Amino acid sequence: MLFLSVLVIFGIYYENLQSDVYEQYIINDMQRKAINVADILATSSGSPQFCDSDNVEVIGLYDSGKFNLTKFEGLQNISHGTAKLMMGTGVYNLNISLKNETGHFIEKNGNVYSFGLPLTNVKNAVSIKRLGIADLESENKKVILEVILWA
Amino acid sequence: MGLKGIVFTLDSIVAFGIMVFVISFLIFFRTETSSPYLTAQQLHSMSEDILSVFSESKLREVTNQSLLQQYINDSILNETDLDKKTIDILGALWSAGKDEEAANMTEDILDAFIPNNLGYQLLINNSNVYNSSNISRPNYEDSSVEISSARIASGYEKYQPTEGYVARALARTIKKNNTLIVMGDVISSSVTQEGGWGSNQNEPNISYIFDLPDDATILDAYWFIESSYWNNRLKAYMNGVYIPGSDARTRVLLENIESYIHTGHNEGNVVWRHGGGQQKTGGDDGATHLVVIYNTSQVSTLEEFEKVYFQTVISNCSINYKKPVFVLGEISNLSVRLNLTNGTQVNIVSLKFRWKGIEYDIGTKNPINGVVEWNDTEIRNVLNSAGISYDILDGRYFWFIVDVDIFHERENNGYERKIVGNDSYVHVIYSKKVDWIYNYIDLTRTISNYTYSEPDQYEFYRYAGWNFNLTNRIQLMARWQFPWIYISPSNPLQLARANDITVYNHNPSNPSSDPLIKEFARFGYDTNPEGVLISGDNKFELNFSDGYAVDPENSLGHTTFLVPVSVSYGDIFETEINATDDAIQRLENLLGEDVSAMDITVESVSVAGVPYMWGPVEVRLRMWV
Repeated sequence: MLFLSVLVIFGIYYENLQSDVYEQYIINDMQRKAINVADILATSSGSPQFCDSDNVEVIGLYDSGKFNLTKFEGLQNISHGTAKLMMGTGVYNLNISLKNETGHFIEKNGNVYSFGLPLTNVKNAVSIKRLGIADLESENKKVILEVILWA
Repeated sequence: MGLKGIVFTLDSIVAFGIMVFVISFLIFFRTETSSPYLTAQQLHSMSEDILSVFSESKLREVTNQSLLQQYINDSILNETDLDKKTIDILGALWSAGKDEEAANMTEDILDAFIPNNLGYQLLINNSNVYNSSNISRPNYEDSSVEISSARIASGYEKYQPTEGYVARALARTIKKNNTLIVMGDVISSSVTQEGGWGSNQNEPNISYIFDLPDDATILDAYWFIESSYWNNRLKAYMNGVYIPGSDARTRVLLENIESYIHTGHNEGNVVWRHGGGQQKTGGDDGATHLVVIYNTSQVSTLEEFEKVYFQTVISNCSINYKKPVFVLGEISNLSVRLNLTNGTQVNIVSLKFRWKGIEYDIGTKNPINGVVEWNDTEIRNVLNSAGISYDILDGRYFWFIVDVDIFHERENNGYERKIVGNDSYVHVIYSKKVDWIYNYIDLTRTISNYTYSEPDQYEFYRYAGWNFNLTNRIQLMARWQFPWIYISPSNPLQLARANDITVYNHNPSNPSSDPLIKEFARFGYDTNPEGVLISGDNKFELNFSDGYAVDPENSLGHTTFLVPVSVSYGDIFETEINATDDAIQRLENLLGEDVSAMDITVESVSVAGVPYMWGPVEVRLRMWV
């Protein structure tokens, strides 16, 4: 009886450990992918350099020392699935946004600079932030590029 | 039965413990725990981002408007600053000592920008500008991962006048305390009769000729004389006047001889004679030196190297004359002329060249009308066939060795041989390294700071070192002459180092090292190779092993350097008088205690819009979690 109890306790214990390990693996994988995505978006002008949603091969938001809002608008014209494929996020969903220092989405001419699937029924999510400036209202402002990978 | 139950229970508990331990152990190594590498990668990206923001943004774009307005009101900033790059203004505030303002601005720009779970610090040239540790962010001391990024920046200084006066100064006439050094050559002539040890009654007479500026005030003078043979006798004269106390054996130091010396042309003479022992020759062993310290208004007093004169030597026996030559510049042509007087009975004169202790025969000639000459082709051919090119002679001692008649150490008194010093010379055509005549004051100083150790015999030591400082001076050369002792036929180490750089190395166990120099009577060098002579502290060291030593007390080291006669435009001052005072002060500081400016010309000009620069500095952003 005691031996059976021990076996059951051990079974539960092992199952929980396995679950933790897998979750940690998933989070690390998401984190690694999110860092790569954020790095390319924040430091690359994309390919071709003056690309739009029709001819884009590599998505990048950087231009001459700042985030280029026009390129972000181009990103918004690409489907979530295509963007995931191009950015190599695998099974994870993608959410990209530009925010100001207080955490509010950047808005310009009625456009909210956010892309990807909204976070619903989230099991795991990783957020990576990159800092920069962007041309808002004819002058540069500090903006935060946030890349969220979630599943 | 009860015992069995306890045993099974204990057994199951122990089994459970072991399994938990084993599985946890395995899982630990399978699991990728939260990776510090990924954290570091994020921190690095963010620190790079912030430095890019600093570099790319205008101040007004990233800073709180109320803070900027406050700084404008307080005259810390002006309107134009707001359109400058953020990094420039932070650097300018830091360079102007506005530490608190630079810190406030950094906090204002970054505090809301950087996520709250991260700590950060801005440093310029490793000094703290702002550290977030004292607010609600993680403390740097407790950080588990830390990373930083840096940029090099420079910019215009704030709070410096950009309108006003600048001035430069030129010393038109100066007074300088200079040192004139006459180094004796290695000259021998027999004082001993052929086949015996008695005197042959010959008294070789060697001159020591030098010129002082016409306006010179002689401050001090001394003469150290050393015979080529121990116990030989000598007598010294200056301008034909016997110097009391100079009737000596072997060596003598004649101090305070200023009264025997005058401005213009001077001629000292030493007459050598047999000392009653087993000496063979009389003459100078190459360690003799005459030092005159004088004050003059002549800017340029440095000897040219174009004609390196022999001393006048008169002897009734054959003469062996070893002439060290040191040239500061690239040599393109070498020739030797000896005037032995018209009608001389000298039959034959030979010339050798010596480099690093090895002698090369240039040739033997008969005087024609008392004169014998070797031209450049004759010398160059011999040197080339020995693998010696002129360019390696620049800034080092090389020697010409002349025998007037076939030289014998013991010889009967015969007819008079005379080398006419003022018409006998090594003619050197060379290109000067520095045009020191018009732009600089040359100065020569003896090197009096020395140490020695490892005694050999008498006053000779196997280690000697000299220290001298040339801060704010343009270095030209440093030269030494040494009383030396060599125990033949030993093969000792000879190592010379300047500022720890080897400049000569005879290593007895290494046949490919420099050759042994038996007469280590001279050593000198210029600024080549780099580092041997620097603007700062310099040292020169000699190391010998058993069989060789020098006498540091009676050695003479001296260095020659240049001092610029002018200073260029300096800081901007609001008034002209302040600018000219500053220029004069800078000139006097540059001239130092060696030179006094008697007449200074100062030019001042009004300037506007001339900015000062700060930097380059390293701007570093450190981040941690």
